[in-house]
Amino acid sequence: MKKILPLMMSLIVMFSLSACSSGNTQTKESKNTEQNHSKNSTNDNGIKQNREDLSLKVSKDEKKTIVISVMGNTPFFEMAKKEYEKKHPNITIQIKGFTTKNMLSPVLLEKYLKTTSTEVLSGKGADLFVLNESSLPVDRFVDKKAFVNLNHYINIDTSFDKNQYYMNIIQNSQTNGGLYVLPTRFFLNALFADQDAISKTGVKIDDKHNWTWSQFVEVSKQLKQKGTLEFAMQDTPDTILNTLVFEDKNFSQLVNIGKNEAYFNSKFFTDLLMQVRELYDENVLTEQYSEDGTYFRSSQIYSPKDYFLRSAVFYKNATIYQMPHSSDKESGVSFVGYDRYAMNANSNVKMEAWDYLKFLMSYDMQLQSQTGKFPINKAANEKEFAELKNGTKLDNPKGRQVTISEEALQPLKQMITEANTQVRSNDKIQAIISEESKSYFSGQKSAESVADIIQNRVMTYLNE
Amino acid sequence: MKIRKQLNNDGKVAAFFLLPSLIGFSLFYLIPFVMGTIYSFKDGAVGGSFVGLFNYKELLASASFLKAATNTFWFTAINVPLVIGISLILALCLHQTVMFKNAIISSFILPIVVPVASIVMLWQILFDWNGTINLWMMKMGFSQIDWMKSEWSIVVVSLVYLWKNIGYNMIIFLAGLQNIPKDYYEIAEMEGAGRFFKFRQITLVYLTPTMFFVLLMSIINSFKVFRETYLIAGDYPYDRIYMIQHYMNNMFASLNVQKLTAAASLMVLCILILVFIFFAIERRYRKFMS
Repeated sequence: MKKILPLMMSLIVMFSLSACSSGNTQTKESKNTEQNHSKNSTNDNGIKQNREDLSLKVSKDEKKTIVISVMGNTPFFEMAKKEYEKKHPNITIQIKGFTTKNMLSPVLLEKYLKTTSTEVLSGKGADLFVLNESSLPVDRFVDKKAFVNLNHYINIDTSFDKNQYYMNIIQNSQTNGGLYVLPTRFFLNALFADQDAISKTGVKIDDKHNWTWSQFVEVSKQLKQKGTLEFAMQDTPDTILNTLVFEDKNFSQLVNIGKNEAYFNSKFFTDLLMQVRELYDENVLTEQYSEDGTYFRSSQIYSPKDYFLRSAVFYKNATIYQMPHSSDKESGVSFVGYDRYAMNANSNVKMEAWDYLKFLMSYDMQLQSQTGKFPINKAANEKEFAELKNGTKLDNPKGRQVTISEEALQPLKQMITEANTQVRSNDKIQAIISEESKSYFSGQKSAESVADIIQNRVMTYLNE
Repeated sequence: MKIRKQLNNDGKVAAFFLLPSLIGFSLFYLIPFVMGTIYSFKDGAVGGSFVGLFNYKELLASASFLKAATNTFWFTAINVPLVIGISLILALCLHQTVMFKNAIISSFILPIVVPVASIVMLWQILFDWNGTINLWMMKMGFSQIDWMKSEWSIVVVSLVYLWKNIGYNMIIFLAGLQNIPKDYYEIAEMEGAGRFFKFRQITLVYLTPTMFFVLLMSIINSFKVFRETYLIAGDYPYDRIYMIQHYMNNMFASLNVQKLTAAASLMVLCILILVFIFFAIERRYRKFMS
């Protein structure tokens, strides 16, 4: 009895000590990575850069494991893993899928967020994260230096040939001046328009200059006035409101990020609310789907084939316009990155992880698309275009058959090379505005009371 | 001599039997908390350097934190006396012979047993802008009230808290009341004491230990009301019901461990001070009683 007691006590002490010491080792490691970071940044700015072939640095015999965290595992991830392991027998890839379902329930999503944040905060976690639109609050992770700036690798790695990829997509996926999230696929956002109906009205649309949401609203009003179609476009009022709020010139009047102040209870915002509602009251825009009754259809484009089908399904003679922008200084096509990868700053297998990313972006892998989004690899994308030969007929769900023509593909090709505006990820303020403004648009509350609630909640968010 | 040895031995045996819970407690509460407190003086969770009180300065500069702290303080300060008062009155009522006593008692315990998720559903249905209560109000000719998104929200949350905790406190009070010897009342009656005098000089005095326990539990539970609020109104509710745990939860979501641990340390400090004050008061009462 007497012997057991000191033994147990010493065990407790050991427990606590080991807990502390493991904490210390982590500290050292992360300090190292921080130093690496600072080196990186000098590399980025400095003129001299020691470029080298990083693929040679991948360990050849040492057993290593790359852990990849995904929200929902798909057959493609498994396939890529197997292919890579075949090429590199010493490297194991472990895919930590959170669920096998495609859609996450809010409860599961929260659990995923919690576990991932905890892992990253404790300096552990997967080596690579596959991110989708709503998975992790990327900005916050970047702020905390939890992700690696992949620009560093892109710049020094000689085995990464920038000409092989759509660098316009990669470069415009940057946040805070660094590439923390690398899209391996992407899709476009655009407006399909009924060319016949628009030319009848005589309204000129210039999507290259000053094409902001306010401008779009103006054009829509004109179309409605001069034309015969019932509506200009179908969309929900809270989406339109959010695009207007986040338009640069409006946003600066509503939120002062530096001062942590919001002015949603101002007349400016209630006016904005009323303007949006007016658009719906005057039938410029509609919330309900209207068959053939709209000038524009805002839509995503996933692939060349998808583009053809959509143009055919939407209108007899469809043209394609850029999505309106959030600033008059912006121009270009908006895109959304897909199957986006982020590398954990605390990863021990960075070289291998980077090699795996290159592998995913390689021609062969990019052709294995099962999601049907545009590949980031130019050659793979061009192959997909080439496969759609002149005169191929596609079945149109609406009846008319679609004939593919080289000529009709040109605008899409041009759009891909012009894609430079990343669609902003779902922001907390955006979510609050959407949630609260709904009760105004459905006529339940007054603009003032909705504005007050938005102001109240946004202020809490900004002042945290 | 022998007795002393025996006692000593007892102490060791006791320590041995306490060990598992001690290990568990330190593993899951004490060590994490101490480490958390250490983090609150650093500028990064992993490998930060010491920054002194910087995090605390930042924390106190955050208007949202101050709002959360004030909200939590007032919520506790108002609702804890309320819940104790109501449950004490109920316990006194049920201490006499009442019809359907058991049925009444079990109906008061029911809120503890019901899972939170189903409660939240019910409250949402009741207090939504288009909810049941607003429907009734409209029918009676009043205008709708935005319960969860106006100053009323705190009243709703208080109601949830009271509803959930009254039953539990009432049971504890009932047990405490049963422990007061009947003779005291009889003697007091013979001496000609009135009802109020008996209540003040016998019931309240002998309920002090129970009261102390109920007080602590109520305070702790008043912090826990966050769970229901969060489930009803999400992570950024109307600022009147934005509690300190909302703040901490959001800080965690944005990976800001420094502010999170600083807030937690401050909160623990406040609770500790409160508890020590209560202990001091209780000790004085004990002396007075014996």
